[in-house]
Amino acid sequence: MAIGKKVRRALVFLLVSINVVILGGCWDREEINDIAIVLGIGIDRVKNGNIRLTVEIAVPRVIGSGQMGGTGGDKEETIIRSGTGVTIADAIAQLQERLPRRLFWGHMKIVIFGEQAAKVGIREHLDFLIRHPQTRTRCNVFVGKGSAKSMLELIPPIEQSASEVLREMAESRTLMRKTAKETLQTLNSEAETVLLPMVKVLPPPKGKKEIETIPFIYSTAVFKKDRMIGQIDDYITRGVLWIRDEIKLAHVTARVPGERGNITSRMIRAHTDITPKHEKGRWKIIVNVTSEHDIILNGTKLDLLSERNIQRIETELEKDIKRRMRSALDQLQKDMKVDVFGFADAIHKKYPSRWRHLKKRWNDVFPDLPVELNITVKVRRPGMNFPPQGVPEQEVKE
Amino acid sequence: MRFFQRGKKGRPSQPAVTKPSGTQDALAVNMNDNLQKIQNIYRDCIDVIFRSFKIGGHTSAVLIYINGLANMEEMNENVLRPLMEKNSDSRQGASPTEQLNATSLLEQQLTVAKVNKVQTIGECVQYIAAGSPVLLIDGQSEGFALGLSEWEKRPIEEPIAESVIRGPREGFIESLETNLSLLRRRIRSPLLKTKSVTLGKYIKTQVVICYMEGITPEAFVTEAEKRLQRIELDGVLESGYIEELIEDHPYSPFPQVLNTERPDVAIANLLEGRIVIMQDGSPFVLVMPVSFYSLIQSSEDYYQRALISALIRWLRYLFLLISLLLPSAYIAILTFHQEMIPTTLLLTVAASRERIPFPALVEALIMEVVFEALREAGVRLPKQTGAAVSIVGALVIGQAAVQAGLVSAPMIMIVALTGIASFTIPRFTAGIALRMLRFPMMFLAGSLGLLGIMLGLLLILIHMASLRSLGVPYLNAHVPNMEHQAKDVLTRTPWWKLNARPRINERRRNNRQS
Repeated sequence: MAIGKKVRRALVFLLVSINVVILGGCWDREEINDIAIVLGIGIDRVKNGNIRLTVEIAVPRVIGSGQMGGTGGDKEETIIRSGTGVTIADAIAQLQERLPRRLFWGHMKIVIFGEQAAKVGIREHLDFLIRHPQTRTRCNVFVGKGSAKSMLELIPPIEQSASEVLREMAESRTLMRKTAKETLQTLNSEAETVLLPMVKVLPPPKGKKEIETIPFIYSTAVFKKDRMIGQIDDYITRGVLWIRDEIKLAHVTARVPGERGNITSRMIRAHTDITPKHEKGRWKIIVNVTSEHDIILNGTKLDLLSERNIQRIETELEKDIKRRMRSALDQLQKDMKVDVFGFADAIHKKYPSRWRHLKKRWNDVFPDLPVELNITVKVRRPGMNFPPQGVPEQEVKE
Repeated sequence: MRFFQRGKKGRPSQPAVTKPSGTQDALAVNMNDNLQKIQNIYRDCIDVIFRSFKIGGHTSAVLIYINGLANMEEMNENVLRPLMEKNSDSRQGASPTEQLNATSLLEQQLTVAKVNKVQTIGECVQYIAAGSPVLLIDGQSEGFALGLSEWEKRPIEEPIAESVIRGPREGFIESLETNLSLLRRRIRSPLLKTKSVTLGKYIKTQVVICYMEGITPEAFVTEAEKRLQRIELDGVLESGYIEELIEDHPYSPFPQVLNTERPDVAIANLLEGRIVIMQDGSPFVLVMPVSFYSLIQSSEDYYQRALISALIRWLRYLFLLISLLLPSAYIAILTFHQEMIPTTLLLTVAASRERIPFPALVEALIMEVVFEALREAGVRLPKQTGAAVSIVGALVIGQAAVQAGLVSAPMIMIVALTGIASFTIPRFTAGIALRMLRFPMMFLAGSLGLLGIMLGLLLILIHMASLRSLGVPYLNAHVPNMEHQAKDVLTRTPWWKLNARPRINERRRNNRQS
């Protein structure tokens, strides 16, 4: 052997390490100052069927300079750029031409569809976003009243960007919230419908510039297949959330018969079970809701320490919740005829074999499907005081 | 023995050093012959004193010693005075030369506790060099080496390199005898054995292997002795020399020998069945075999309460990882995985990096190298100048570099945190190993991202698992897995539960408390 053992080992090691570096490669190495961090995108439909993609890009120089005591002030913290194309991918290609830095999608938090784009169909756009390796499946999806671009262009007074505002709003869960992944999953389900939060521009206060305001979630867009077919208001939306077991934040106000004044309760937790039943050839859905509440306002003269009073209040709260759910059912089941409640999936899960037959005529069956609502409310705590406050003791009703 | 396969290989023998002639000669009866030979050996040595005198006024004798290494007072009082006095015995005897018997002299007149008989010139030279005065008497074919050596030494002080809040404050010093006495004073059992080996062609350093008979496996002692005896160096000035020469894997970044200045650490290790190698002239003693874990533990872990010590150990493990990985993780995330950190954090970091001219890898390398240089400067400089170095480091290099836009502020934080983290490792040698490995990790992170970090970690782990210290696996407790031992690594087991000694040998029963 001409080559010594040690030399040979060193050579092998060298070859392996060179391969590791070359084959593994630095091909996706990107310095942080060479990327444009996309915070949110808006997808609009423009003339002749093209797609206009608007991105909101963070400008790190300005955002970071806050604590450095540097410049800041007038400069915007984000910039807006648009590109058009036949598909969203085309639009990105055009957009990239107009940017000095590579677009980076890892921090994209929101996707807004313009109303027009939503009415034509959102599936192919979402498919791109889910397929892309950098984007997050957890980004929140919205539908914008008007164009999506106009939402992203806003300069919010508190948050850094319009995207951040929308993300925070979705997280607070007052109304609908859907991530890209959930949206596609729901579209995938038996009912093929989805509800997406709808946003519009909050009118700016007097004296402020027109863009110095925020977008906010005000209602819900109803999708059949992947097309937007209508809109429901916030009251109806909460009714749907109750049925879908997605309600996280709710205040219920009720009046007790024979008493003056309102009682408001805050929901602590709620649980909904949807049980389909097949009796004598007829389908029926039973919705059981159990919900726990705290009393946060007592405008009546009822003493909340008394068991009898609490029971009366519970009954009234139950009625109010039922009313909400019923009106949601009326509008979505009877009028719009879309199964956003997940009844189809519930039947499929419980009666898989029968569902195969039912599936074909589901669109006919669904609008007339009887739905039974059973609601149980428990008032857990009456708040910091038992009797109504500011009422003379002798007037308090035990 | 397969166990010790990876021991040091023998070295090619070097040309023999020209020894002074006649060292092997036996002492002649004629004292003047002997004296001449020794004087020849010690020619041109003004510090070697030859004191001639007459025993009892008739027999000539000479006392040879090195100035400053022998206790003058005792020599005067216990050697010269009794011998030079003309006592009654010699006056009555017929012929003084015949009567002067070496044994009787030793038994009756030399009031010195430690006396060795020497037979050859070579032995004489050895004792003289070690500081013992040698007494040669005309007409005797043997001399006496008197144990009166004494020289200036440092008092026992608190060890600086391993300070503790709670625990003994004594530290080893440069004198081997004192160090041995520190051990002996605490281990009062005759089972503490001390074997001596002399090292160094010229300076003849004494090295002692200490072990506990019955606890330490014999194999450790014989192997260590074998390795020590193979050392052929001109001089051994520090136990670091020995450490390097008897390590199992000299090219590994990880130290396989523990060095300590603390007698309590040495004793704890003796009691756990390890051997302690002491060297004259160095306050650092060596402990073998050790596992990686004992290098990242502090002696105080066992002196403080178990709960607190366990927490501190966890903290140390965390910071150990930080000191190894933080800069590379930062580079990897910033150049490959920007999606991994929260948006706001990314934007803050991005903003601070906006004007930085270098890629993250280069920036990190510059700052880490500068930090290492600062640390090194701080160690070498006198204490007063050390403060100046830290000011220069903190203000000029830290703040000014950020303001000038050469380095980003987060990078300064990363470097600072890494520095602090590496100082939480109680043993300097272990800490510096991880500090060193940080650099290849940074290159891996810069070229392969988190994949590279994983790759590097695996390589390090494989390497560590393959290491042995005196034949015992370096990751002992985990590789091979031993539950009762692992619990004292992952936490700090309370003493009342720590029944078994660490298994570093094949013994079955190994209880340290009944």
